[in-house]
Amino acid sequence: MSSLRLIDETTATSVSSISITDVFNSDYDIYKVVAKNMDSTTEDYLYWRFINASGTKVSSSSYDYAAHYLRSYNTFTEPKETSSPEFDRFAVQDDESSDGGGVVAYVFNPYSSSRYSFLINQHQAQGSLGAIGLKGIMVLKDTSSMTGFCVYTNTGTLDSITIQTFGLRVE
Amino acid sequence: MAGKLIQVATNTVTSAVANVSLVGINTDDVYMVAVSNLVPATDDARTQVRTTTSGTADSDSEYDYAYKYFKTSTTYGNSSATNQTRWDLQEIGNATGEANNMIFYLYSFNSSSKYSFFTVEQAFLTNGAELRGYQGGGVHTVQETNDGINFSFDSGNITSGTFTMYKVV
Repeated sequence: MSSLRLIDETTATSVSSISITDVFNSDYDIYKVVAKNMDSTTEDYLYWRFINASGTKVSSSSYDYAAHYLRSYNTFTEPKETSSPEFDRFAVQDDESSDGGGVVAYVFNPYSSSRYSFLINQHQAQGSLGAIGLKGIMVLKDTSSMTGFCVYTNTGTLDSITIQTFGLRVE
Repeated sequence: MAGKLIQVATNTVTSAVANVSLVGINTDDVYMVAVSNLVPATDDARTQVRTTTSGTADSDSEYDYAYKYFKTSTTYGNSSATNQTRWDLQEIGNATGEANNMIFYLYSFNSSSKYSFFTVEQAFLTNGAELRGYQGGGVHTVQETNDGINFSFDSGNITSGTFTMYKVV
């Protein structure tokens, strides 16, 4: 049996926000989150917030992140922020019907009530001017237990998105 | 890449140890290593990684690496070196919340005629609680069979951490 266990798969259409709840638990320390078939009405950024054990989206200014923004048509940039109310660089929203980019992210220790939650993401999309990639890291400096997460648009809506959440089992 | 992970080795450190080895590479498959909540006993200790041969860490001077260094405080840097005695992965803090988390992929470790390669993605907090991370990889330029990977710090013990190696099939 694979140690990579599918916990949840959610597909949504015509939404501006998708919440994946009750996926982080004591069975795993590390999770793999895959977002695929992503298409949007607007070219913008896709954000991330954790959802705590009370079901509340964590919007305190406790997110730090650093990303590398890789573009086929321009120079690379280094978006970064501390004490942010969300992770602003989970992905880029594609707005062409032929687009369908994806993300692979690893989430560390989200369910722990004594450790910070970390995330590493890799993303590829196609913008109006060319290929766009993101490589990023993020920490939520909050030791509360997180049980899920929310991915949402900065502007516009997602025509489609599928999010898979896997746990990395340790026996 | 295929989607199954088969656990090969794991070690959860709950009392201080000098180093951790994950051993069991015996096929030509790609292997993945996941490390969470790695904390040093000595504040600002540097994470070091080595290949293992027959379960023993290789202490030669054949480790090369190159990383992009992500920082939240300043412009990103490049970190690279050749002919080192280990793959270096920066200094981390050990105050509350400070820890090192990493995903490695290992390539050609089992081959006796090829070098051993790895890629890494890392997110950690410094001893000033600044988020930083390496993304890159390296190579051990020895044509030998390596059966695993070894973790230590340049100073002091490992206080905590969960280390798991999977075969990707």
